[in-house]
Amino acid sequence: MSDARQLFEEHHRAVYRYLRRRTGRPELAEDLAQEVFVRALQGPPSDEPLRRPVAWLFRIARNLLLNHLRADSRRPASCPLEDRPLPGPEAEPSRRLDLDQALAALPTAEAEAFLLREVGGLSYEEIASLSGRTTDSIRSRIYRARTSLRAALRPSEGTLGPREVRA
Amino acid sequence: MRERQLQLLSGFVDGESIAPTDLAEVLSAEGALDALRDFALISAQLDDDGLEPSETFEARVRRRLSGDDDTERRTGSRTWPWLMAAAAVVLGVVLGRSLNPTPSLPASLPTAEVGGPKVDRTLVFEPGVDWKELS
Repeated sequence: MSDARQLFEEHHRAVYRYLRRRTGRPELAEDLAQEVFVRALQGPPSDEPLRRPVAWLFRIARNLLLNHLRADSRRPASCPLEDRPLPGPEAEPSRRLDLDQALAALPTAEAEAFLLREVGGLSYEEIASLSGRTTDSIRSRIYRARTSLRAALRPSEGTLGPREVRA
Repeated sequence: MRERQLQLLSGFVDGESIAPTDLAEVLSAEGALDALRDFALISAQLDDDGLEPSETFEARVRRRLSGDDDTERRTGSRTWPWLMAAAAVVLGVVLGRSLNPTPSLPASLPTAEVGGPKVDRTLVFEPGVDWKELS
């Protein structure tokens, strides 16, 4: 089995879920995920062995996603409704809707860091490296995302939300 | 619970290394266990979100990665004759040039049929003398 094929078997679900969460569109997430592994087939840019191939895969995924979003933003403003990120049909249970909505309400940078950590399993250092930020900044973003999600998903239980924490 | 403590707890959930004394202090704070439980529940909820790629996608990419993609093959078979034709043209030009390296001109070149304007006056310049116009 080729390296790319092995990477696909091990990581395609995580890559897809990251892209699916970031785009909100299943077909687009699949197209981008396919492109990730087709690029992986060409091998890493340098001959040096990769310490963590999964971090490289997510770097490709993130770059492809950013390219797509840039191209998308240059389209006319009156983009059709179906082009907007929406929760998929599988998000019917209210719990999942809550999670989708809470994630969608996060600032992009926080959601991105949080998803790379939770879905991709990347370390703070790896996320910092691929997004060009410091580790402290990533730590802070993930913390803010987590506390915002906590506040959004468990509002009735009176657990501490970000505002209460800062007070 | 203070923000710093909550931030340490978030890092702890992610496997960040925390000094034992800091960890003991954080876990002793009021609400720490609730926060820890909520963070774990959020992770669990995300894990169980049911977002899976379609089987069609998986089959398509597996075919593509193993070089057994029909689309690729069809595209390749369409492209191949054109590439061969282009290569033949290039080869012909190169061979032609190598057999006859100097470009040859036709024996007689057509001459310009239209002459210049007729001379109706001449200007002569003599040093030290003004211009004279001879007609």
